[in-house]
Amino acid sequence: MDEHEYINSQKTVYVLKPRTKRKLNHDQRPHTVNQEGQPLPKKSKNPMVGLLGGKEPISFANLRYENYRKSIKKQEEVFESLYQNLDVDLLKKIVEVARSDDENDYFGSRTIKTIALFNKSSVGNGDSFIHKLLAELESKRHTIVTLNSKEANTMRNALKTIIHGVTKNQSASDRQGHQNHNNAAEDEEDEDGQLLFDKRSPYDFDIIREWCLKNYHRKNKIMVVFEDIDSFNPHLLGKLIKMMHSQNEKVPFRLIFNSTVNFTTLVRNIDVQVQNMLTFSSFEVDQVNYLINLIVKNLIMNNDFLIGEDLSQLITQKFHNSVKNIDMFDKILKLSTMAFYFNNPFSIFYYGDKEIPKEYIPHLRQLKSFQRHIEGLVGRSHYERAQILLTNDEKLRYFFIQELSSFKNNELNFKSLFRFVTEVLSGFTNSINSKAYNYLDIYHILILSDKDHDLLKTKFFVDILNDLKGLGFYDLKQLITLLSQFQDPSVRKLYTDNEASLDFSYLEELNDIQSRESQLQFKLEFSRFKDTFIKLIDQFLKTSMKPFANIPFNELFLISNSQDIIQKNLFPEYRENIINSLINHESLLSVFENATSPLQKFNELNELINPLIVELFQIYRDTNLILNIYDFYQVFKYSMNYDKIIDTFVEVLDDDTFNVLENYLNDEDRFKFIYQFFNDPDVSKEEKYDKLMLVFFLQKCNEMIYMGFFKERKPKDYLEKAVWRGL
Amino acid sequence: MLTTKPHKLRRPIAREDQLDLLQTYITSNPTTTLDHIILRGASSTGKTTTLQYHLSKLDVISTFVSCDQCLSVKVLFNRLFDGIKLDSGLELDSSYDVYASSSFQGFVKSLRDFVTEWEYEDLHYLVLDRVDQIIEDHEAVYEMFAKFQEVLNCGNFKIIWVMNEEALSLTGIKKAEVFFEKYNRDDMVSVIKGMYGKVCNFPKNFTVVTQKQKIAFWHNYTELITDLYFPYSTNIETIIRLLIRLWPKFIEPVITGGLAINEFLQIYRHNMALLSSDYALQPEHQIYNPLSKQMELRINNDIIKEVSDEQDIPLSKLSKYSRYLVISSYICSHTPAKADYLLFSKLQTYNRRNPSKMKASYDTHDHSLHEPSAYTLERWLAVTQVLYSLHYQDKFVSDIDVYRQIEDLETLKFVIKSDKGSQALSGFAKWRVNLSMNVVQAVSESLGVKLEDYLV
Repeated sequence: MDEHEYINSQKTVYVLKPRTKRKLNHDQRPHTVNQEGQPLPKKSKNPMVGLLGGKEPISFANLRYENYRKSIKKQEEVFESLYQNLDVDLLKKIVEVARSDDENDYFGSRTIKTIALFNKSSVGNGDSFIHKLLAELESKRHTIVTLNSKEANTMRNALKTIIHGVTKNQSASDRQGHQNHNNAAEDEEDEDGQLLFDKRSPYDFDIIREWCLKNYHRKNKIMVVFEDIDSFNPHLLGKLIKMMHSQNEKVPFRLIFNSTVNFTTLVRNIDVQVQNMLTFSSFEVDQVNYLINLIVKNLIMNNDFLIGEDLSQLITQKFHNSVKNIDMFDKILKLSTMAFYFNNPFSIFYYGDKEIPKEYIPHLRQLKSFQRHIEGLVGRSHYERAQILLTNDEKLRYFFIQELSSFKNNELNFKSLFRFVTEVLSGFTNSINSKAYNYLDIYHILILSDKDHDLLKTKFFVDILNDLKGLGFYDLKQLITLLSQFQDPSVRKLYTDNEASLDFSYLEELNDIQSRESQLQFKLEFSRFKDTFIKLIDQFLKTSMKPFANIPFNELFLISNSQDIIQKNLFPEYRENIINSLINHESLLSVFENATSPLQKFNELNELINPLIVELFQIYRDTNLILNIYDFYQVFKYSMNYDKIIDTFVEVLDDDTFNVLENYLNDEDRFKFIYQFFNDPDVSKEEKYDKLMLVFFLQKCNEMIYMGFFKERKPKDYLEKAVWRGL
Repeated sequence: MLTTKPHKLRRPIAREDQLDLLQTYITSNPTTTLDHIILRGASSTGKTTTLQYHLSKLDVISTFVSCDQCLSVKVLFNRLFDGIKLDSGLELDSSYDVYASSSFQGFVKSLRDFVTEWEYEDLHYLVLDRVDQIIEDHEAVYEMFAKFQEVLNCGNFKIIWVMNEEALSLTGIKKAEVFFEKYNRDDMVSVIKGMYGKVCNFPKNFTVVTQKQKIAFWHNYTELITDLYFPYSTNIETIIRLLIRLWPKFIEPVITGGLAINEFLQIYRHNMALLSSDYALQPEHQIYNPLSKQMELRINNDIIKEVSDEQDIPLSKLSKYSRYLVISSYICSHTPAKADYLLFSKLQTYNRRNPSKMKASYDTHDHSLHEPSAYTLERWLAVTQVLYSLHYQDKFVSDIDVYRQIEDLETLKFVIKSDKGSQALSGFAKWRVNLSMNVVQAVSESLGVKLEDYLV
């Protein structure tokens, strides 16, 4: 065995396939969307593309853009008005409670009014409310002291913070009067740290009491805000409250607890004796459901286009699984509206004032809903009809117009059904209230359209009908009165058609007679009456609308989450995204096109090597679960195109235009280890390459560990792949 | 200003024995009075009231300091010294004050200077009220003031200690002790009966009935409530609070005119539900829910009931994902990583529903006794994913949102990052759960997850 053979036999690494030259995809330009759209002429200010392979008339494209802008503007207006009016009532109420005076109670020391704010789980949202509240309170000239569990970790610190907070808020006029006094106090405190001018400790509560005697206005209170009441040490909190309570006679304290738990849990942390010192008023700060209702009511139901089943599914699921976030709602709606107008050339025909050009017609046949319709025709052996629709453009155009009007009709019915459920039925059924359905949930239930989707089979409507069965006479009467006042045509029709059978005047008469017989009679009649009524509602729910999915061309007029555009853009999957971009880095990194002379060499190098972490990741994908770091390095080194890389690399280093290494001249260490090393003629190319790759490898390997692809194992020279699929 | 001067007070009820004793011990003659007098007894047994009454009858100077309002001994010195100056009616150069609150020696020195300067010889009682409730270190107070007269070398200052429990540090000194036992039921009723108008009152515009009738009603009311709640608490203060709490609801039928004031039995029957509920024992609480009005839904009691029902489940406000994250974080912290394969594998041979098999291979300690151990982010997510997909048909999508929820859980301190240096979302980061078994159990029950199945 000669030396070469021996080395080969000791190798732990074999590189079988040297890499062929990479092909760069230079064709990928933005602006061509699956060859469907063509950029509009540069003159137009419309950023959208001409659809239908560029055959869309410019005027239509502009119209589309205009509609889009209108729609977004409307959305912005709705959201703006929401944010402006948000919390106004709540803030008003809280301020009112805070400023109200306490009644005297026997103990002289009255209970302290405590405002407990219960936030939603997302901490960020709750914070903004607290800031708003504090600003509002401050504008009402209350004194505000903020405590948090980290700063006020001992009794002394807490008291000091409160006293300091109160006294520093003295109004300017007072300060003027006591200027000398205060200055002396501050000086004294600076020197001693412990004692004030009037020899009192900075945590003596008498200071506050005296301050209040001087500065007390009946309307102004001292608000002590516990920013994170849940994290306070209960023992400390109890003592602090006792202390405040002992001064409550003279000092108008108000406590504000900002809590993320619920009332029971909050109170559990407080001693019973201390509980007795407090009077709680709790406020649910969580207004998200209310906001969602408003958005659905004012925006979605009021918009030209409804949102489709998949999009509503996405949003409801998102809200269900994670934090309900109004900003996110806003973003989703915006993005989906944008996507809708961007890629839907037919959206402009919804209003019915435009003639559909010839070029548009064939594209209708590619729609899924249309194809399903044809399948249905074929299934029912209406071959002729199917053939006509497939071949005759004029007939198809006519069919489209017909279906559009049926779609619009259904949309109206849908809207009135929605209003009927939310405005009339919801008041009389506990199941809607108690299960905390918001309008979005209801919307989703209504728009869900499986093929044989029957509204009455959903749990939601089963519950509603059950609740209706349990209604008493007066509730039912009120319900029918509401129904009779309802203006939407389809619901109105329900009432007018059955006015005779919904007449409850004779029941009222029966009810008024006190005799036992007539009461029995009344009970019988009433249950009969109720049955009729429920049947009517039943019938109404069944027939009021048909699923949108059964109407051909429905996807043209419903804003949907086409091709998971929302998911991909707003909720990218963390790990998957990293992996995908490591595999297809070309789509993220810019490619040098037409690189001319100065960048030529860099470009060459670029074409030879991928970003190094990408190279490393390629190997990572092919390895076993556990791998030796040295092997890993070897594979990494040999998988590169050694000859060319080192040559080009040296050329780049030598090239005067870049002066890569010359930048190191000022840095002693770098000069010593890098500049000299690469300029040393005694060092062979292999060695240079070796060192270079080692540096690269260690750097990138650590990056991968940091990103969680690898874990270090106990024998230090091994790595373990951290593979969790789909995370 | 600093001290509460006893004002004209009514004679305390049911405290005759104690008053007799006080008359013997606390006199206006300095030579016959002991240096230390202790008033001892459970809280709200009338110690302070009786003492105040007695001192107001006596023509002596006294200084009251409520120790429970003093954070430390220094504050106590400070208040005491100020009080002495104020109550003695003498003014002193404020240069002494600086020493007065620095230490016991300083306090004594200042006081001695004060005494010598004014030749102050009047009998002066210093009342240390609730001395065992001073916030920091009450033992120190005992030790210092036990030697007070000795150090001061001045006989005219006498100390009256008012405290709940016996103080061992004071056993060695010469003292007189007056013990206040708890009120019995009859005493309590007679004490409370005299409080009409101070504790509870009818509304001012309620003039249909005579004052006499009102007082008769009040007497009945106190008897009733004391009887009902005496087994719950023998503390008069608590009982008075209950009286106050129940009063507005109890008199409602009288105010609205539904029942006459003399039909007490009927009023009692009418309020039966109120009295048998734990309304009075709950903290005073009002729920404001402006939303329900704005939602244009009909407001009825059910909404509020629903709110309170929901509140019984801890963390019910968290989203579904967050709750699963909490559960899996508990599992990760309390099971070794090598058991994951057993617990979450889909292979049938390792049946996770056969805990006996698994337990055999691991120690059978109660897992909830263990300190939670740290786990990596990746493992946490993996366990969450498996757990979620086992209970729901749909997939656990770990997008940006999940990471945000993890951050939220950290801010809420439900989970703790154990190595502070690393970034939260790096593969390195180690976490541990910070919730007790009970809470997690309740959460998992609300989601239908059997937590025990996943703990070895």
